[in-house]
Amino acid sequence: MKHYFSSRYQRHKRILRILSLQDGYDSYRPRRPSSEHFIFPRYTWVRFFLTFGLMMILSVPSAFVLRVVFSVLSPKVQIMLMIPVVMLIGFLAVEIVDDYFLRWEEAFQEFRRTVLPFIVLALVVLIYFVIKNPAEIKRSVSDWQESVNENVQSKPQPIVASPNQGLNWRLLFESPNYLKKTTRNESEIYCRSLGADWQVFDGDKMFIAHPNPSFDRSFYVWHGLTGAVLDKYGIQPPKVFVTSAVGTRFSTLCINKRIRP
Amino acid sequence: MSYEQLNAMSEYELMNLEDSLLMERETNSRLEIKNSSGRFVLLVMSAAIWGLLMAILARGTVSFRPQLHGMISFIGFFVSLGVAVGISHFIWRKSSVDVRFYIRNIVHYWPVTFSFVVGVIVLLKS
Repeated sequence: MKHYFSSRYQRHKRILRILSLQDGYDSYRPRRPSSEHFIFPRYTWVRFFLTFGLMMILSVPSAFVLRVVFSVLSPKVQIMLMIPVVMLIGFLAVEIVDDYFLRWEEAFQEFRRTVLPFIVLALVVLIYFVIKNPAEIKRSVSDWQESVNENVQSKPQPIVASPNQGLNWRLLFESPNYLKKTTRNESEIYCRSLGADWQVFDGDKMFIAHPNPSFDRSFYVWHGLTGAVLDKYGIQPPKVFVTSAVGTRFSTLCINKRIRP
Repeated sequence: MSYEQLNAMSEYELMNLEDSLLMERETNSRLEIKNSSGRFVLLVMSAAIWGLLMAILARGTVSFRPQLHGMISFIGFFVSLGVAVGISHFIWRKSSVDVRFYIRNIVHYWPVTFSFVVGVIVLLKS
């Protein structure tokens, strides 16, 4: 920050200002679009709030020091001491914001000169393909969406269940404290594999889980063709449901209605 | 002009060059530059002169007949606006480079100016 006070830096800043005035790539530029014709243009308010915020941040250490010093000074001396300190903070805040904007404008100009043409080119190519073969693009986008969706959905569901299995219910775990998310078919196959009387959770009000578990969070399990929410109250008839589509994955809870506690 | 060419110039030459570039844009009738301290000064000066002209107009026509007073006020409202903008631009153009430089800096470093003014007022009142 010391360099803000040097005449060399102020000269450098002035040269950059002149260059930006000549080139017209910063906020001083002529031939700006009519939408920017307003009393204050786009960056004035950003500059104002940035300067104000910086002043607040810079005031923190000085306020701490001054509070210690102030306890032994008279009010008049306090104000006399405060004025130059606040002026200094204001000066620094303006300089930092100026510095940032000069760099940012230059960087933005560089970006427009170097990277932007490639982005425009890529967009033109994309638009060409979209116009030429819209169905193919649509399908590939939906395939991509599906694959992303599947990846997200197949992530195991973290859970802390206590206990993690009961006499008449089982959860399908991928690893300890992580439930495996399956499709509807997979959940049915798993439940049937447990034995003859085992089935996917159906929300039957007569079913009483033994022992009833407590879960540390709410999560979805298969319930018919929909997903149902189980929460910290354990295995209860569900009240909240969510629809499913092809490829939807939920956690699997298997129950056995014949085993009664 | 490149950075090197500008760097070879003296401080005074740079100041004059910047001022001429700013003046060209600040006093542009197509209002193409706004984000400059000079523009802000022109805005405030125009508003102040307009207010003053309106006050003079109101005071001068107070004894006129109501119909005439209304007509003069209506026309004077627009005429005084144009005159105020003209006067402010004239003052700004005729003031020296140094004056414009200091005023622009006073506006640009507004936190410094503001804290100084508030500080002095508080000091005088305490």
